[in-house]
Amino acid sequence: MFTANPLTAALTCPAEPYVRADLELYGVDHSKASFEGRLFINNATAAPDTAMDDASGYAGSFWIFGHGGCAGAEGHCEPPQQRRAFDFRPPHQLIPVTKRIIITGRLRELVTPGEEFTVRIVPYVRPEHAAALPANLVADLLRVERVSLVTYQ
Amino acid sequence: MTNPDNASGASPRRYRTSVTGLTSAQVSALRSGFSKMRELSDDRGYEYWAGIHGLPLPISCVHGTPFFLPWHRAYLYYFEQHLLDVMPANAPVSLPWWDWSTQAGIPAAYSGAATGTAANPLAGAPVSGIPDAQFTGQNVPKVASTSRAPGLTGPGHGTFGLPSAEQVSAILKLTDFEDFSAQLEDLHNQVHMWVGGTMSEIPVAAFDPLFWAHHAMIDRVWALWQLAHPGSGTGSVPHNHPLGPFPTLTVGQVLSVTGLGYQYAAATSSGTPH
Repeated sequence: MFTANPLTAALTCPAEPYVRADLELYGVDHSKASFEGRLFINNATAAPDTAMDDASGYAGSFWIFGHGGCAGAEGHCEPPQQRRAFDFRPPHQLIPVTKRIIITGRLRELVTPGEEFTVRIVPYVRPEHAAALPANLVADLLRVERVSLVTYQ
Repeated sequence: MTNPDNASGASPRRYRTSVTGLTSAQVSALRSGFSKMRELSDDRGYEYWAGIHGLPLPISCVHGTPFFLPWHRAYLYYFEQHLLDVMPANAPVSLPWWDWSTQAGIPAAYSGAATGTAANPLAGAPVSGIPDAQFTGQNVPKVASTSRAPGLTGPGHGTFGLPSAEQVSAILKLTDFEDFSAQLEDLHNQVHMWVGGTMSEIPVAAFDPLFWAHHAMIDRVWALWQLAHPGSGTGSVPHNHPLGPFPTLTVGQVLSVTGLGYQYAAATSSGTPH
């Protein structure tokens, strides 16, 4: 059964004008089921059933095309901590990825320049899809190491 | 489809066209090609090529990096070559694209029954050739055939739906390859999840025949971006990087679709000079 595990990050909107604003998520795990990550600004209680509209602070979504679990033996899906010198093989497929979501318009609408705000990331899996997968693939889905707001002038 | 401008055979370049623009003869040829590939149990067959993407191990697809677009262009190229192999010369076959941003729902050619009593080979396929040991209980469950559970559709598709034409237009304006690639890959992910079922998970997604039309659309959007931003390159991706497991192709060799023998056409018109 899918149970969302949202994460919240506190960020600061720049006081200066910007032409583009990106929310960058570093170290995003993609080893399990595919999911949508919904972004809510200044909504500490956002959940999978929260409306994605102006009132809820919805700022956009990103999608993770999941690796679908591990089809190998023990250790097969654990990325090495370090690469040896002269290891010219492709990188391990489960190295966490970076996601960049362009939120320029929504940031302007929802956050006053120079003010702090929160971004709540809510994972979502369609119920019928979650029901078809083993529990380990939809549990603890959202893992993100760091969240940054990057703006461009 | 063979380039009508080169019908004399001077150039074998093909046009990939929209699934909604296929003639009934082209739909029949496409279905015939997929059926013939499914009949081959060796490394020319559908099972083998669907399995390259995910299971059976090794999972070879590349996602979440700037290699996403070059790798999938090479993948479609090899698949299409094998599709051409099973068809008579000059058969009207190429991989069509599914423009999910303007065509709501699963394309008609890929759903429902084929003519007569035959099953439509574009509506689904067996998920086969994967050793039981690779369904470990820690990954996607074993299934006998592909399935779909499409999401909502409607005007603008809504927040639960498919990417919009406006979203595609917006990313076509991006000027940096890696920025463009990452945004296009996210729309790609969204479509995989919208289709649902088998398409939703990497290990088995490519067994769904719709996978190829979806990825032809992704490849087309990249080609359109390349036309709009000539000389834009591939960012940090080195052109001499090999695209395994496609031994004859590097990143540099897939930068030009024309060089690979195909183009994307919204429409073609030909005339005989006199």
